Amino acid sequence: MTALDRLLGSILTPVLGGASVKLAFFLAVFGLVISIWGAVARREDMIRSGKRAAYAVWALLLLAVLCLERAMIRRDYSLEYVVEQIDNSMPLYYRITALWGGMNGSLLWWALICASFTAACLTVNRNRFKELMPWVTATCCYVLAFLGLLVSFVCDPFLPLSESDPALGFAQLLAQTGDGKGLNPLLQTYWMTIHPPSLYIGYIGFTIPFAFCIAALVTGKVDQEFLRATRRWTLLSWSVLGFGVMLGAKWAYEELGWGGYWGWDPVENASFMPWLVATGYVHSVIIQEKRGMLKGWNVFLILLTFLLTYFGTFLTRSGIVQSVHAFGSGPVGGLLAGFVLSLIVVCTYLVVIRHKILRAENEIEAVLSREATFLYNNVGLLGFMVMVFVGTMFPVFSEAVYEISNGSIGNGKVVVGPPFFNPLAAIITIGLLIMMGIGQLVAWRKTSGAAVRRNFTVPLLVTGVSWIFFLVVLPKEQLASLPFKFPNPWAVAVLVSSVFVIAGIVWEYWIGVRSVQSSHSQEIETAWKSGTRFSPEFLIASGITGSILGWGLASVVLATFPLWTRLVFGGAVGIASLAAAGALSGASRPAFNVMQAAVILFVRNRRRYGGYITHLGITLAIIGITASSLYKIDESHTFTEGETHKMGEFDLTFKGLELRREPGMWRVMAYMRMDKNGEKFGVAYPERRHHDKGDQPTTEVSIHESALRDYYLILEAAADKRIPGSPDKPATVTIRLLQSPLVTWFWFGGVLLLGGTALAAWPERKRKEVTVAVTSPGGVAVPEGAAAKEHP
Amino acid sequence: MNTAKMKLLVGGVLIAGGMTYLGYLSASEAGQYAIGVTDYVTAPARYQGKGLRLAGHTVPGTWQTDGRKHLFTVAAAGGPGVAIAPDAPMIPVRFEGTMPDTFKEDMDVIVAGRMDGETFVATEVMTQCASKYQGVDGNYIETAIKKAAADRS
Repeated sequence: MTALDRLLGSILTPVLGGASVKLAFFLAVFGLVISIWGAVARREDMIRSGKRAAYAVWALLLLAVLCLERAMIRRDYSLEYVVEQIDNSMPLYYRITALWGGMNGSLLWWALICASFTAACLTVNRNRFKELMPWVTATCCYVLAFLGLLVSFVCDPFLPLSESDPALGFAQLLAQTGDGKGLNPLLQTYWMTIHPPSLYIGYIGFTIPFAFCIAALVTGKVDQEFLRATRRWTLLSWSVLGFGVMLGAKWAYEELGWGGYWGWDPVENASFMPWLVATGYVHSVIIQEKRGMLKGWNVFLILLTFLLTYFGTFLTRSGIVQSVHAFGSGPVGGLLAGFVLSLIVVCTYLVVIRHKILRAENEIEAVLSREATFLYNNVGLLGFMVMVFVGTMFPVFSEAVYEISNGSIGNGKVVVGPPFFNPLAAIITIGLLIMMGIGQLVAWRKTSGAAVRRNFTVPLLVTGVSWIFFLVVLPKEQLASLPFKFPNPWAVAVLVSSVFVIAGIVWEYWIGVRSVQSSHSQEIETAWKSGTRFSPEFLIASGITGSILGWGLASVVLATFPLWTRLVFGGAVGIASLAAAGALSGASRPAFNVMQAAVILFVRNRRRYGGYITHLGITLAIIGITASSLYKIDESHTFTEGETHKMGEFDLTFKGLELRREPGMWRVMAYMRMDKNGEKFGVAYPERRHHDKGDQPTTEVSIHESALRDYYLILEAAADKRIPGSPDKPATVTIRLLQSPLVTWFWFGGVLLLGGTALAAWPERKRKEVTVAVTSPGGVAVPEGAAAKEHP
Repeated sequence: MNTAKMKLLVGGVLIAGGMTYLGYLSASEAGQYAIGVTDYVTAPARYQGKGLRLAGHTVPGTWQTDGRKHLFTVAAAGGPGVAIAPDAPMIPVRFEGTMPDTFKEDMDVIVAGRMDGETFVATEVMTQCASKYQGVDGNYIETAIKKAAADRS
């Protein structure tokens, strides 16, 4: 480290970084006050000042994050946070991601993302929603002020080591060892680079819909404008949060070595609850848009979603509920509780004074209507959230009840785990799937008997056939080796409901395609004869559709190949589709064929069918979760060197134990050969890593993923004369093999969720461009929403 | 209120009622008392046969395992870093399954399961996961400082 580095490290970083966050806090307070003042007094200059303050907060927080990142990258041990998170052996990328490895840095990172969302929202809407924007700025500034307060005065990441609490021992550690404490080995993984940021973006993104909701309540404009303003922000946050939750599950699956991905831990539940409520909101908001109903309900849902993001943070950082994740219980918990409480008071007050304008303009006319199924789904999702909330808070509630009824403290705390959550989650999921399936096939307002017959007959027939299949074929083929003879009734119910959803999607789409073909053949013919090319939308849709198909195909055909092979294959099919679409677009044809009509239907109703892709993704994920949870085969055996033993479908042979020294750790790897039906299937290297820091080894499982099942090998124990403390005998290893069907469907479903939402939320082309498209063959055939008029 | 709305409301109330009842049933079946070793020892009859989440401190030198089957003893302890008192109540634990990576002797753990006579039969072992907001492990700094001092001397 040069003298200049030391100077920068010891003076500039804490001074510049620390001053930036403090100034950001004061500017956020200023932005809050001046925006409200400007809105009330209708002073443009003040409103402008509020916006500029919000931009300045963003710039200052960005500067602060850069200062801290610099300190972490350069291993500037003059800061307490750097000593806590960094050590001499950590490579660059972990030094960068360690920014959010600890409480103080993660709060600063949280504040920066919040400020970035605020700045983006102000920029995007600089010429729109004039009446709402000052209140949006004020609400965002309130949230930023709170975060700024935490980072400036409670969890300061720029605290010099010299001012650190001696009881923590950081200064002594550095003086004695010349090294920092370092990030936990479990967090030194590539998942750390993507999972926490996804969750943060998901959580924090809800600030914008929340701010618009507050603005709408204050100004009394809970109307279409408010919906337009929040739609994309909500979809972005909702899909990224869902994807982030799934990434966390994938992380747990690959890194924690217990063969599962979800344990209903309070930390997991905290991220799941806002996602459930937001799922309800993204549906019920459509009812308000189409039918002018559920205004009050939508306001309630968006407020609740935002409050739950902070309640979850409070839950896991206050120590109120014990989690297997070790979260601090410092003053942050109390401040978060105060913040959430202040928001509850403000929201309640606003809802009460505005209750008249939150009344519905229309009423539900029939039980068999799209709005009714959406409403039931909303109730189901909210019920799901309440179930997760009650289960998570059960220790607190049960203790309170015990204390009240017995008059004594302690011993009344009851904890509930997966046996409580799983059956309830299964029942609610089945109900949600059925409603999702029905909702796709019924019309707004009411559905005629003829429409019911036309839309339901085929999906119900397919569902009936699948029911027989799951009941009769599944136990014989898939479950022959399982200890029970009959398929699990829960699994059958979930799988059959899922088939109903998928059959409904396909059938509804097919009806749409046929209507495109029949209703517009004349226009299509004229357009094709003119020889003009497809619109860019068509080409993009073809490329994306091709990529998805390619990826799906690759997942089956190239199941045993590495991930990059499948990605390349999917991309190649996408490019081929793009090229084919481009070539086709120049041809001269009398009418659209099915594939062309399908793509055009999608392009012209992107919002609707993007939503269906999301439905498909969620359904596939549910199928994956059900199959992998209920039909998992779990075996364990202790091998001596050279021994072969039959486990599941394989003859497993322990070929030897490999000990490898790498920077910062010893790797103990079991070399396992896998044979299936007398032929070599592959090799696996499950391992345990013994880190120089700390005495807790980490497990690195060996996973063989495929479209139908995952083979998951865990090295539970290893003994070898080369390992200190082991007996002087041939090497032995205890191997656990898990065979979990359809796990990859869960991950693939998550990708579809994100992709489908992106397609649905991507901005539409402006009206002028649509008019131009009407004269070209590609997009013209179907005016926006035409298919929806033709069928439900 | 129109007929459709009434039907929806009745349906909603029935569903909510059904879910609440199922939730109550699940909680009664699946609920586990969260207690410490001392709580159990002072009133064993109260917890016999019931689902428990027993919090305790693993006693050094008691962990025996073949990689799959585990036997160890948990004791009441004052907290992290506080030594187990000689007269502290102890309960032997039997567990078969994959032990968490973070499990070791002389640490706070929570074991979930039921008492079978004098032994606690665990179906799950939970350690305080050395995750976010906590370093490598609780004793790392102390151990590292001692090691560095010993190396120098």
